[in-house]
Amino acid sequence: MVEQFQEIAVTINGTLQRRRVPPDLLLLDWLQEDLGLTGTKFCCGIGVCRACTVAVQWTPGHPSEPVLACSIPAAALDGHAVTTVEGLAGPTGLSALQEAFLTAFAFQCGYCTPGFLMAAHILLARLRAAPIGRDRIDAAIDQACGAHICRCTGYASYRRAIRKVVFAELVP
Amino acid sequence: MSSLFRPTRRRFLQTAGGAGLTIVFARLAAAAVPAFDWSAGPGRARARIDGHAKVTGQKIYARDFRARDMPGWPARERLAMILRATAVDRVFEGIDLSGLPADLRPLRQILQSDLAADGIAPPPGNISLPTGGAGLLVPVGQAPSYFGQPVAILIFADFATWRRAKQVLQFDESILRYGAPVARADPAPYPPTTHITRYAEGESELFSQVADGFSNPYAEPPSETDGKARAMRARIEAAFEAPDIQHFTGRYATQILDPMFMEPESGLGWLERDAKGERTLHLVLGTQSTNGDIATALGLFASESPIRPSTVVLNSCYPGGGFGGRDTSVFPILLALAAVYADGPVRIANDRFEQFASGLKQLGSAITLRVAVDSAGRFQAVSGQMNMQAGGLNNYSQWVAELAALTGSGSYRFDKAMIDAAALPSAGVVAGSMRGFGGPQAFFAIECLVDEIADSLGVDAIVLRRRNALQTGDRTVTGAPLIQEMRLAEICEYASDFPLWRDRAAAKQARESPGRLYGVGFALANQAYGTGSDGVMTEVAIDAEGRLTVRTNCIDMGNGSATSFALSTARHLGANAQAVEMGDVARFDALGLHADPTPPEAPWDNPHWTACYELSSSACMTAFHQVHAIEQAARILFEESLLPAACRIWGISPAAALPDTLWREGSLTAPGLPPLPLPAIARRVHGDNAIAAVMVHAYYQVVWVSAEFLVGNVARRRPLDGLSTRRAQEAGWTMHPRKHTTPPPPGADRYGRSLYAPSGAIAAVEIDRRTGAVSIVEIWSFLDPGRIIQQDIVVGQSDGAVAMGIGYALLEELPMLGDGAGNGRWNLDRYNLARWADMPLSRMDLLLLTAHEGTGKGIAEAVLCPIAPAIANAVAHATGHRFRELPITPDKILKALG
Repeated sequence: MVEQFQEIAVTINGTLQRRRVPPDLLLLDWLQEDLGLTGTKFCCGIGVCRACTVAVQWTPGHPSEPVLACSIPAAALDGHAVTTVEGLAGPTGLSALQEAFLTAFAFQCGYCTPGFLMAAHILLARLRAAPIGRDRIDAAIDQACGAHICRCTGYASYRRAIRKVVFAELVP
Repeated sequence: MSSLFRPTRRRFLQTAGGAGLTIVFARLAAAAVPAFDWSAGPGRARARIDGHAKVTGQKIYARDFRARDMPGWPARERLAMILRATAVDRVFEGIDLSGLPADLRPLRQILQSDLAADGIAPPPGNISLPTGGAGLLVPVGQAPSYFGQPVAILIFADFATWRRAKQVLQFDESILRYGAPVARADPAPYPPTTHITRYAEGESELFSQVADGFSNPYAEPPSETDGKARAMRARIEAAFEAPDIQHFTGRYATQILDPMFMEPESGLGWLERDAKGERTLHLVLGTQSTNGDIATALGLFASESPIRPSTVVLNSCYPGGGFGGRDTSVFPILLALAAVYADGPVRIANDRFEQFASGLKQLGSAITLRVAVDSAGRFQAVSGQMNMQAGGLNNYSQWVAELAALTGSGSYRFDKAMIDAAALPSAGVVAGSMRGFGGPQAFFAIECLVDEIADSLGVDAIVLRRRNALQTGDRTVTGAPLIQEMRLAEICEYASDFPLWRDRAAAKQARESPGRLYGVGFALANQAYGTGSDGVMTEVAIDAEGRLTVRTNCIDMGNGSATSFALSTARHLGANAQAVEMGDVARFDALGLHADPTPPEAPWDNPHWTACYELSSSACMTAFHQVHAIEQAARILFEESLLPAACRIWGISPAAALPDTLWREGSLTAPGLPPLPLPAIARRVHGDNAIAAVMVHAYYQVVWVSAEFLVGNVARRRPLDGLSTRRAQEAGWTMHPRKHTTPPPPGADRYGRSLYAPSGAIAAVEIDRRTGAVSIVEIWSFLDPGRIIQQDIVVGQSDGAVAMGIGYALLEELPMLGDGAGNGRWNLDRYNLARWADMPLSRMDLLLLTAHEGTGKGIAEAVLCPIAPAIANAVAHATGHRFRELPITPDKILKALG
């Protein structure tokens, strides 16, 4: 059985990566096995738990969207830009969400944390681009993060941390 | 989640320092100092010490590491896949990989015959089949013992081959060849079974485990104690039928659960062969049983085995969740086997299907309880039959049943008790250690029954609990006196006054409609923490710049112990530790202790002996046990080294300074003397080659064993049983042999447990009459945590327990046998956990009793135990129907509502 390969060029955390990959190689496996980026987590592998959420910018200039790295081939990202948890902190330090997750003690084992961070990061960017009324923000947070699974900490402190950042930034 | 694994200390074991561990944690510590200030001052944290690594996606979990990440390892890495039994009623005849294209074939396939030929078998007493056999892999010609039992280990050339081969092999049952059907007999329970009998009348203790010894009323022939227990049980039976006594019986069942920690078990192994032929087995693992896994990995090999490693190095990682499910798991054994048969580093990375098929489960239960109540509403007698459904391989299963028995009478005083508990083997996936360790099952049963009794008596359910709640000085079902302050009644009083409870009738009337039911339920719990025989160890060290490091053999599976450890130096050293190195087993050889199961004469007179050397890591062992060891080590470092050094700087006598010294803003202060910053004292300690590291071992059984230790020329009594110190400029340790040891009191080994963390919960539910769906609309937890180390961590444990308790009560379910997890087809599309939307996130909180005690309590299990019964009692209030079997699914509710 001769394995087929496909040339892809994907921007990962701001760096263009060119590779030949099998067409069915999952984005998660490409990140972890080839690029050494293991911050994006494998948990269920079937797109339920969302621990593997990354941000994909399908169209330049448009807000990123959440993508489940366990359920999409890397080849499908050809020509697009991906942000993983390793790409969230800026040159001046942690993002506001990362800092809020820390000070809210939002997680315990932390294995689901990258997924929650990416979902909240994407939401924040989307709300910046298209603000909504204060009364709709909680529902937007619930929609963005409500399907993620956390087994240790029971969601309440994640939600508190995300609300704190979103309301501080978007509802002065 | 408590662990009772007590391996014989293997003196032949040549352990090596966890090279990878040191590197992993050294890197974290180095990165953390400039980039991340987690501390909020001495004894307080603004974030978890491991938090920065976790929000930035650093490599900290075993699953993150590849061979190329490990210093000194070859970069080429093999991948292994475990084939597992999917049938137990037919003879296994071998594997058939002919469907696999030639370029995807494994480099090596390992069967039980290979292990037998090479003298490989699990060490006795650790991994045992109910039939007494100990085959790690299913032997050809025999039927598998249980679903999910490993059949073969396949080692593939690389990730690409493994990935493609797995696509072919996974879910294809035709690769396992089965032959003739076999009849399966129900084996006997995992020994020992638990039998508790207590008979007291007022203050007269006529029979109990503590007073009379362990007993088994079913033993043939009975011993004198067994016979006495039989007679007492006859009297207890009579007590149920006495005049003015009402008795109530309930039968309850709980389901098999998967811990569903987020990181499926993964790891790296490498058998390094040096030029002299010495073999070192390196393992990269996230495990709760660090000591046990090393001992087991080495104990696999017969001494004459040609492939036996001489050294095992455990590179211990942060586990992505544990909940007991990584405590003496089979996974490390399989990883070790793959490593010794591979030609270099090898990785096993379970996917979730494989994790469901192989990971430790919580035991199911079928519990019958009977309670006798007098006319004043006081509980008089309890009897219980607790059949705990275990799997086909023992994993503490009998000890889970034991704790179910010990907690079977709940939070209440019963002068007369007879409780039997057994872990019944099955062909199901391995079941044993999981959060609660028998407590969740037991508290579900007793708390539902007590609620039913209150209904029958027409008494408020919390008032009834308050009336019968255990108090300090009462005795447990083993006859052990409760020496802690017992605040169960206080929890009942708080809960009684809580509007959610107080106004429940009015709320029910207001909130119900033709399509919606509403109910409120309460449950009380008194979960034990510790195992009843607890050995802990730690090291506290100071470097020349005044940086403190805590080292421990245990790990933080997410429960916050790393942070708690770092905070626990502050009490005596005025500063938090800046680094916590966890999972290091070998360095504690410097304690010079062992725990031979056949102790010498007068064992406590032997300074090298302890009753329990180590335990697996457990969230409930942190706040009381581990923190005690750290605080004692820090205290000794202060008293024997830092204070004398400070006094040398001050030019005064330590004896003169001791009563008045105080740490203030990082400096040691004393009246009339200049404050000394910790780094200045540390420089003097190192300059004078004074003690810079203290290693201690402590043993708790009803009390901390204490002894006198001579350090320098002063002997002091300390609540420790092992002490070693290291001077600043020296690599070697000095053991300070204990003298005049005060052992546990007589009978302490029969208490069962002596430490408890009272808790409670009020839950409110709404039920959709049309769908039967239950929504938790409000939930309040109550807890006596003792002295709190970091409240945020306690709250996180409680919030997580609410989520897990909701899953237990309403959502999670795994069949035990062929259609269960062992068939390799279970994942989160079928196994339903509580999500964000299942939680009343804006209407839940934790009320903490203000600490009266000077020590913390192990609360990780306590916060879980009342959740499911509180929900079940709320559902009963809503529907008028008692659901005695978990989970309470919409189907069951619709059926009950007709």
